[in-house]
Amino acid sequence: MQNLPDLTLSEARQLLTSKKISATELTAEFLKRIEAKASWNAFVTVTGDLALAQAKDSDARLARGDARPLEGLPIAHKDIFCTKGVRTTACSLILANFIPPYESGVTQRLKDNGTVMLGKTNMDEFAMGSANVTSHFGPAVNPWKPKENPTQNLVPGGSSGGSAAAVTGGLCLGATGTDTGGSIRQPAAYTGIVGMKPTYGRCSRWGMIAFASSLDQAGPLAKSVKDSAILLKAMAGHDSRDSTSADMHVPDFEQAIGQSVKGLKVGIPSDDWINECNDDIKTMTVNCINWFKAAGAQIFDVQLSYAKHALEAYYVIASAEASTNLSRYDGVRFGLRAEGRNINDIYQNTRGEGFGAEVRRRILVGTYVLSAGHMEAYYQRARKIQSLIKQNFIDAFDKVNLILMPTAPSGAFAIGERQDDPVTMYLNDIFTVPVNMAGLPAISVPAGIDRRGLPLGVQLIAPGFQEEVLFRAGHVIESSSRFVSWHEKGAIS
Amino acid sequence: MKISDRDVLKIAGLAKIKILSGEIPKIAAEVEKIIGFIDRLNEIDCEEVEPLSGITVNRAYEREDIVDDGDYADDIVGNAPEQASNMFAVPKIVE
Repeated sequence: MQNLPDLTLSEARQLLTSKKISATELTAEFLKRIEAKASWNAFVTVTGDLALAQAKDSDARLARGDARPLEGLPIAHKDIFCTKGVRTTACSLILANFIPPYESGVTQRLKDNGTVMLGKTNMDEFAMGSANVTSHFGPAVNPWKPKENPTQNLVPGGSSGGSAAAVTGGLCLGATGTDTGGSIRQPAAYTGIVGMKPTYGRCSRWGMIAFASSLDQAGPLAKSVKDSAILLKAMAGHDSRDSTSADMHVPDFEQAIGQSVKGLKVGIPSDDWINECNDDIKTMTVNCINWFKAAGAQIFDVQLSYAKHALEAYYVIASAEASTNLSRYDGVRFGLRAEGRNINDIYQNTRGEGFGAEVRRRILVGTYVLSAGHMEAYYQRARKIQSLIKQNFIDAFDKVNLILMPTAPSGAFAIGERQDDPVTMYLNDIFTVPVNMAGLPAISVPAGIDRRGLPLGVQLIAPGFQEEVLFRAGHVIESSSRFVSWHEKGAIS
Repeated sequence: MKISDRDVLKIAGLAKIKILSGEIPKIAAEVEKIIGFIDRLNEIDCEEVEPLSGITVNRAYEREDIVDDGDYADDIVGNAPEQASNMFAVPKIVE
């Protein structure tokens, strides 16, 4: 039989339901591998005993014919989802000892579907970062190595870097992530896996530690497009505890896999700013266009001129919301409390010590743009630009069914690089942020390998609540690039 | 936009974040860089544009005003750094 950690989620589901393997066996194998690969720092909490107990329950259900849709499948959760009784930190010192008294909407759904939780994955502190280097628990390491320098440690991308490293490295069958400005898609691209950012409102934000509430959205990181479809089906759905959660039917996304793209209209942005990426990325994009053409899709030019400014507007809106959301960390009700002579000292010292450098910067910028005299110049202007970006997409989707562009301007870089100044790091998200600003669904699918032997991702964007077309089209890219097999060829030890 | 040391202290005060005096110049330079980046928004003429108020398709809906959660005060207070008589405790504020 195939090496268990190499299985996709759908393959494991098949083996479990046909009783060729047990959930306990599968879970034990993953726990062993998580321990063996501790140097990747993909997990910040491993819930071994809990996982084995859940697996035992799953085996009993499978034996008596009472299996739920994802029975016994071991997955991991980004440490931003509150998990009842299991420490949840958002990888911040300020929450380092927080034990949630409740379960997030998304993790509850996955639990109710029968999944086994292996643990909580590493991430940028409060999801603020693009390389998983701002985590209080240290950086997560990308399991992929550049061929010319096989000992160099690369970033797995961020902020869902631990989830991405865990999925690509075979430490779990799939994982949850969150995407405020690209935090699912960009790490998926850097690690050669599939990252899906659903339409804003598709998944419940209840119990998901808030960064920028009007942009935050949960989604899966998976080894294949099919796995991604299976996981999203389980994660999505209305939740009355989140007022922005959409009360809409959740289709069986898996049905979209294998459907033809003949006649599908694919838009390629012709704007200059989209070309601000390296040659390997450009080659990858051309390959994807050719694969779509060969599969019968039609290619059209579209314009996303205002999306060029999405990143600037994003740093106003996301920072403003972060400064508001993170005001709850005051050292009184939960988390860290620093010493102080009076209550104001306690607030200031707690927040000064408890937040890392990047989080502090974003709170300061957010406070600045919201402060008296700046609100009109920054916040209102950013909201106007957001309007224009949304209109760009509406106009484009008058002509086409989906838009294709790179997920990121380059492949993964070394840990420690691009940290000279904060703006250099922000530019990694130039292609992903416009999607969040318009609330649209998008998927990143592995579509190529760069000259260093590292994975590259292509991004497909659809109109709101049309995730099915992304799974359909994403599967065409996946089949054409035959990327999944590269993982099995031993690019990762 | 130039960000001075005084600006940093002012916004850090508003945000209730203690900044050590040695860190101020570095933070001022970083915030200035970010604000400089954000200032590129001024290149766009958007005088006539209506600001977006939200990206949700659904209108915010109402739900029944009934309690369907709770009864775990101990767990909640259990996360507090300091507690007394099942309440959050803070230093005395009124002298």
